[in-house]
Amino acid sequence: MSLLKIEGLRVFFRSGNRTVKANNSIDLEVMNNETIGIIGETGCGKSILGRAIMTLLSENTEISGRIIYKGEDLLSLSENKLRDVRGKNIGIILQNPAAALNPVLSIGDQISEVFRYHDKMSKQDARIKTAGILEMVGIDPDRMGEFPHQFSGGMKQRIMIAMGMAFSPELLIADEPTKGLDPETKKSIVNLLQNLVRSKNMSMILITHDLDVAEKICDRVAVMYAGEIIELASVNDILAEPGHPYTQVLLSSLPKKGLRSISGESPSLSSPPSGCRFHPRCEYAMDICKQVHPDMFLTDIETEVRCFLYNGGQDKP
Amino acid sequence: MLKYISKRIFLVFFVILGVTIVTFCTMHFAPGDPEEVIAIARYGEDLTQEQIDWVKVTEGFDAPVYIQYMKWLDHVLRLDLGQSLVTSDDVLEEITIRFPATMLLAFSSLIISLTIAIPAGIIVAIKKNAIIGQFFMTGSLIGVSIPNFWLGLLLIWLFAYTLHLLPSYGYGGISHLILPAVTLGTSMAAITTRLTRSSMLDVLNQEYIVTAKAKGLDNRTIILKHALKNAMLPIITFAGMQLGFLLGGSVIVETIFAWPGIGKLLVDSIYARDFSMVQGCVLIIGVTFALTNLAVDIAYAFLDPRIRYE
Ligand SMILES: Nc1ncnc2c1ncn2[C@@H]1O[C@H](COP(=O)(O)OP(=O)(O)OP(=O)(O)O)[C@@H](O)[C@H]1O
Ligand SMILES: [Mg+2]
Repeated sequence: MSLLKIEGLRVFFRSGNRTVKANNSIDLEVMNNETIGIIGETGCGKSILGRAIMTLLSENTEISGRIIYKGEDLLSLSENKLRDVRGKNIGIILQNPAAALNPVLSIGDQISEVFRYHDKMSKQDARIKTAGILEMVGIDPDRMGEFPHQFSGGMKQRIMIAMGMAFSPELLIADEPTKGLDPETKKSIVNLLQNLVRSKNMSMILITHDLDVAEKICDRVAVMYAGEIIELASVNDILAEPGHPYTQVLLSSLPKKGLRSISGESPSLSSPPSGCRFHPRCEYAMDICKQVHPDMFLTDIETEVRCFLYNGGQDKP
Repeated sequence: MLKYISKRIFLVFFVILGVTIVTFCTMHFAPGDPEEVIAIARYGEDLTQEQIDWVKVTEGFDAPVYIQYMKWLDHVLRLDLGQSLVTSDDVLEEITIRFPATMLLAFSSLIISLTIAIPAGIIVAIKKNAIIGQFFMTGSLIGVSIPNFWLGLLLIWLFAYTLHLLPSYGYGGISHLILPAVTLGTSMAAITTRLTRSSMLDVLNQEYIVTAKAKGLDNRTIILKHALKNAMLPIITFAGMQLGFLLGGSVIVETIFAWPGIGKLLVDSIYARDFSMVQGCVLIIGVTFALTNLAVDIAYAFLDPRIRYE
């Protein structure tokens, strides 16, 4: 069953006469108990998508489309109702834990305030709950009174996870939770996320640069390029038979396959290339790619790819 | 934390040492020989060279400068700041009489300043475009531009001469305190409002504010708990510096309102060429400033866990 449905989501930042189109017509459906990975090079709009779902973008952002959660469009919900959804139903682990934790509040306070605020729990009860959650993510509950700077990067990541998970939300958005961690810590964070998601029957949107991580815990993967989703497929399909030329180079640029960087410049989000956004860097580019913006096409193995090479198949219904 | 505090105390020790050197120098490098100044104070304007030389020998001005400094410092350390050249009163005693007045004015105006500036700064920061935000912003701009003496005179004119509500000058009950404290307080509030605003805007752009929002907290909690605590850090430093200056006596306001504080004492002594009194005031003002800053540094450590647990 579908838990969250994003339809035609656009996120534009306007400054002067320049418009940064950070998300352009995103369609994505997240099912119950599904972990969906979002991959793509830096600056392609992954984090913006995560924040848009929780309507965390600043007021002067232009945002349109629909984000349907439990039959209601989050984008047209009142602030009051949104506050209930945030943290309680949808949790997020922001990209940079060092900046995302408040430096002057103890970590115990930062976690327990969620219970005190949403559930009107007593201080004592909230402390007990917080201790349980810290234990769950592998942080000694006795350190509840300590402050963010007293923890290592991996521990801060765990604290962020604890915070995002505090209410056992139905959907967890995890933005590069393994970035900058050593292999051991990375592995334990991935295991932690995987276990939490499984044991609590949660869905997760995992934003990552790390395909190993995606392979390990994702069911499906969406590949983003220049603010668009250009490929959507099950993780096994995408790794075995990447459809989009961009996905192909992205996968082959993995270190374990002998680092091959993607040639050409990253596209500008304020004046993206005409037609297919990837055509200037694409080795298969045809005439049509320069002029017409491709839709999502279905391939033979039933993955969705935004590329005219697959135009022989039928259009996405 | 202990390390941080002891480091501060160590530093303040040197600052105070520097203050004594500077103070000593004000006397010695000021225009006119000190022996002449003292001789004038003692014997009047019609001096003979013998009288000047006599003072030079008895006061030890013929010794090398560093010996003079050591001797002076020795007296200072024994809390002997000498006597007024004009009234022969004990300098330290006179300062101790004046200091409470300055302290009273300093703390009252700081409290007035912060009670206005912090709420106003927050409102200006979060209601950038609303009328109330514009109102405070304009108010603070006017406040920054109005000179103290002018505001003081304006208040005297309005509340003392026209409305006869408050005394226009002097020292006594709370009614005497109101006008000078409001004059100082509001003009400080203008700057502090702007600082609060920019500090708040800076903090509201931080990632941890997004985290707080993502937890579903309401704006009130986000601003008063998550943002304000961080935004207060630079404000504390600034207010501490303001307090340091205030404790040195606000010369202009103390003069306008005939407030018997240390600032007025300093100015009066300068006019009277009362060198030992000037020296005493400068020394006390300098030391107070250093100690106030020390107190602020320690207070800061209690507010910022990153320093507290160093
Ligand atoms: N407030 C803003 N104003 C203007 N442009 C913005 C703003 N926030 C983000 N952008 C732009 O939107 C684009 C997408 O940003 P986003 O943070 O989603 O990238 P990302 O895919 O998460 O990259 P990374 O992998 O490096 O985290 C970037 O090009 C960024 O410059
Ligand atoms: Mg990102």
